[in-house]
Amino acid sequence: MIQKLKEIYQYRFLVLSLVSRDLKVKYKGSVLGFFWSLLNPLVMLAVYTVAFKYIIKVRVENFPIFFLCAFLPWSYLNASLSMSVGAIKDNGNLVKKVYFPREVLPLSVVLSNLVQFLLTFLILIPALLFFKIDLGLALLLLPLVILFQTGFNLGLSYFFSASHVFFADIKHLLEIFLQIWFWLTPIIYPVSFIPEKYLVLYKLNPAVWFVEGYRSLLLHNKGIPFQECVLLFLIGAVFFLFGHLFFNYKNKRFAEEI
Amino acid sequence: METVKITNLSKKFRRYHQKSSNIKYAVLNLFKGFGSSRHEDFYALKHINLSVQQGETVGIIGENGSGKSTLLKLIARILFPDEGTIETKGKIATLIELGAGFHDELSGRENIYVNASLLGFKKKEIDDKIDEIIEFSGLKHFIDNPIKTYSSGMYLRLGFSIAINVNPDILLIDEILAVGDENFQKKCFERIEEFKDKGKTILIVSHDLNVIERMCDRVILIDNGQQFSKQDPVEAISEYHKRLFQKRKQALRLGPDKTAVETSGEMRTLTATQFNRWGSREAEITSVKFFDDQGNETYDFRTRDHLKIRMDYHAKKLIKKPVFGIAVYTEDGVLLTGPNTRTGDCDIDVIQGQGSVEYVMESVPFLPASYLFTVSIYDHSLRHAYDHLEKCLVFNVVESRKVKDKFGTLHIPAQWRHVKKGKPEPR
Ligand SMILES: Nc1ncnc2c1ncn2[C@@H]1O[C@H](COP(=O)(O)OP(=O)(O)O)[C@@H](O)[C@H]1O
Ligand SMILES: [Mg+2]
Repeated sequence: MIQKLKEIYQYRFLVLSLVSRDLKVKYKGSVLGFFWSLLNPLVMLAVYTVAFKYIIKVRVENFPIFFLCAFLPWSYLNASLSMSVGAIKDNGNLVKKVYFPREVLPLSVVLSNLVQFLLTFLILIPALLFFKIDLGLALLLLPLVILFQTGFNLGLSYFFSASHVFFADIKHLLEIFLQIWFWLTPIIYPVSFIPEKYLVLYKLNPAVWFVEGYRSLLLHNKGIPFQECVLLFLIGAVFFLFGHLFFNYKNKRFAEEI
Repeated sequence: METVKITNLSKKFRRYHQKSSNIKYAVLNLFKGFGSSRHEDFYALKHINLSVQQGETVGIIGENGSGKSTLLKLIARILFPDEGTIETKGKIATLIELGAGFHDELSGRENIYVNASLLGFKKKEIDDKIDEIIEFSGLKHFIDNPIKTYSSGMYLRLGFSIAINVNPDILLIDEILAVGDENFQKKCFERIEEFKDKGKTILIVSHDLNVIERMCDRVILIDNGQQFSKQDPVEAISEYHKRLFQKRKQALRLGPDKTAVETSGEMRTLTATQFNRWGSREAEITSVKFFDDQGNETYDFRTRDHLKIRMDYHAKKLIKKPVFGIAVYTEDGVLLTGPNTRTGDCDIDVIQGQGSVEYVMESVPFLPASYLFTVSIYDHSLRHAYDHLEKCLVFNVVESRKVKDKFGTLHIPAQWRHVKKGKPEPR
């Protein structure tokens, strides 16, 4: 494992060039490229605001920030998974003909989404200031939470991209799964909406912990209790480890199955 | 020093009856014991042993589908062995297929970066090498154009320049030097020689046996995944010819269509996987048939018979000035003749769609034996192969009453005359 990580580190320039190529392709040809990518969360925000305020008439205090604090990390997860699921198979030409650590492929997808996620803070932070949310020391924990979530995303990306080589249909299953997952995560509603008796079950969803973590830091300017920090770390580490091992096990037959 | 050591290597592939990469079968398979029923394993390589010393050049030959590429991919760590081990020392560069890892949208220069980073190089290292790479490729004026505008020869130039200039310790080459013009080929071979002199290791797969014989210190013959015991170039190559010939002969005896081949208990048709075939395939040979003077299809002739060969082609797009060629070899691979439509003054302006080309021998010049036959379509310069079917057929020449010559290979139309000098001895 250590050896594998070392090797991936050796190939860091490849990761770098894949990430920059990905971003280049995405934002090339439109000066406003980056702003287009910010448009999506804003449109979603508008839609849900209208829906909640005027149609369903549920009141959540400070809804725009409440929503963005959860939706942006969720988009990071969502985009990482749906874009990396095909990472191995879609690069079949490479995988079949050149040796390089295959982890690089899903890794660079996740990292390029990480960059985009970080960039969205460019709207989040002004929004926070605009809505006069206090920003304080709690923000110092933010990098840690992002790091743990990246481990989590990466583990899942490893898992799905490796499975996809053997079962193409996993792509469609993942789409459905992400839809359901969205609603099972407190993104457009607070956790307090969940009836007490389902709460234990509800909290088995790791995304709940991440979303709550982000909200606590950004919305409430509160730290995260130590135990929860450890929990977030464990989620990130376990998922990463599991994904990594699974990927390495399946890796042996990638080139011949594609 | 040993740079490649392969011990008892075997590789299995799965042959799917029905590719089970969707959930329905996955679920079905779950019930039937995972993955057991929908595929069977077959060995692409069996018990391969090989030890390559630093500085050696080793050739790998064998018919298509015999497992040559698989072996290279295993050494390159693209595939993983099922049994046995492979140990390598040093950096490996592969030239396994044209433009592997190239991105059409990116420029040649950008592709050098991507490609070299695939080989594990850092930006700075590539910065140091890039001028040399561009220089060697001879693509200076095109290097900032997107490579989708490159020809296949240019692709090869770029790929080869990268692979050889990143200074690997082991270079793996798979059937790619056939592309590209003669000049560049010469440059490549010079570079490979230089590379050899520097004490680097090369493993090369090629259907060009002349290249193999000239370059390689040892030759591995792989037949159906198994390795021939001798590695001396001359012995391995002549064994290859012998086996090739046996198979073609067998192919001809079997089946009414004369193209079925019996391999490991199962009937397979003699398709592109059974002999070496290469080319860009814009035009393809779709069938090759031999006829006697009555117009009957046959593959047995007598010396001085009338012989007509008909090659049907299919050109997928308009091709200007194609050249059709044939070649006849003896059992040990000696080229007897290699005429083509260009040298035969039968210029073909354009081809498109279906058609056929005929070659007629008024009088078969070969003595009784079996002969191997090659057919091909090239461009006008004879450098670019559209389709090349190497030694794809066997035909026989049998005893004839008309010709009593016995020795050698050819019957040359000629007369004997006896000229007497001086007076006969009186009795
Ligand atoms: N990914 C794969 N899955 C299943 N069979 C394969 C795969 N790759 C190659 N094979 C089979 O393995 C055999 C050897 O192939 P290959 O090494 O490409 O032969 P060669 O390079 O000598 O022409 C062939 O029968 C081929 O069909
Ligand atoms: Mg091959």
